[in-house]
Amino acid sequence: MSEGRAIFVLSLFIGGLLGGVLTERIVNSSGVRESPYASLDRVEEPRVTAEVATAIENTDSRTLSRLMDTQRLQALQQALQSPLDRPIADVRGVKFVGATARGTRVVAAYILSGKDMGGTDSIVGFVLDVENGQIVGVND
Amino acid sequence: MGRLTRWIPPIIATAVGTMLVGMLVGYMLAATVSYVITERGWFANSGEPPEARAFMLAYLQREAENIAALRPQQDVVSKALAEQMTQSTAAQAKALSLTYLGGQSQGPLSVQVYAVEARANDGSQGLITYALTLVGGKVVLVR
Repeated sequence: MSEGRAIFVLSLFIGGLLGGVLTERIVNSSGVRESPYASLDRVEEPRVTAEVATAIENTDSRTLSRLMDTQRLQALQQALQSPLDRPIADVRGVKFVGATARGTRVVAAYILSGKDMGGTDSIVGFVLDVENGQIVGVND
Repeated sequence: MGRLTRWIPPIIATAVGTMLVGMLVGYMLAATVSYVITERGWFANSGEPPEARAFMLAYLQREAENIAALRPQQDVVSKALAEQMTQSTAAQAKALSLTYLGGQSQGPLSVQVYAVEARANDGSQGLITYALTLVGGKVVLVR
C-alpha cells in the first residue's frame, strides 16, 4: 500500500470515527424534553438562610436554636437524613445552590455533604422557606 | 455478493467500508464513554441532569410509565403504589411553573432541587419544593 493511499484510508477512518461520535451525541441529546412550564426568576441567597447554613456547617447549635423554632428544627432534623435514613453526623460542607421567590415567599436550596452515622459519605438537599425575613418552613 | 459489488470500483468500496467501520467504532466508543461518565458521576455538577428534568416533567404531567422508567427496578406492587401516589398528588394541584434551583453530585450520587409553583383545587397558590436524589441516572428518593 502506498503512503498516499494509507493516509487516505486513515483519514477516512478518522472521519468515520468523528461521524460516529457526532451521531451518538445527536441521538442521545434528542431525548432531552422541553419543559412546557415557565420558570421563576432566581433570587439572591437570603441572609437568614445563609446564617442557618453557616450554623449547620460550623456545628453551631446555639445560633441554630436562635434562628429557628422547635417545629422548624424538627423538620430540619428530618431533612438532614441520608438516603439510607441516617442522620448526617459529620458535616463537611453546606452549599447554597439557588433560590427563587413568589410573592413574599422565598425558597432557598442547599446541599449538605458529609458522613452519616454509619460512616457513609452522603449528600442531602434541603430547602428553607423564608417569609418576611423569618424561616417559616423546611422542605415544604 | 460478488456480482452485486462488481460494478463498484474497489477504491469506492474501500472508502465506504472504512468510513462505516470508523463510524461504528466512533459510535460505540462515544456510547461507552457516555455510560461510564453517567455511572461515575463525572462532570455531573455541570448543569441540570436530563434525567432529573425528565422525572419532574413526568411527575407533574402524571406520566406513571415515564416515572417508573426513571426509577430503579421495582416490584409490581411498589409500582402500583407509586402510580396511585402520583395520581392523588397531581390531582390535588396544578403546576404553573417549574424552576430548577440547582444541585450537586458526589460520585454516582446526585441531588437536584426544584421548585414548583402550584395552584390547589381551592384556588390557593404556593411553592412546593422537591429534592431528587439520583444514583446512576435513576431517581431513588424524592423529598
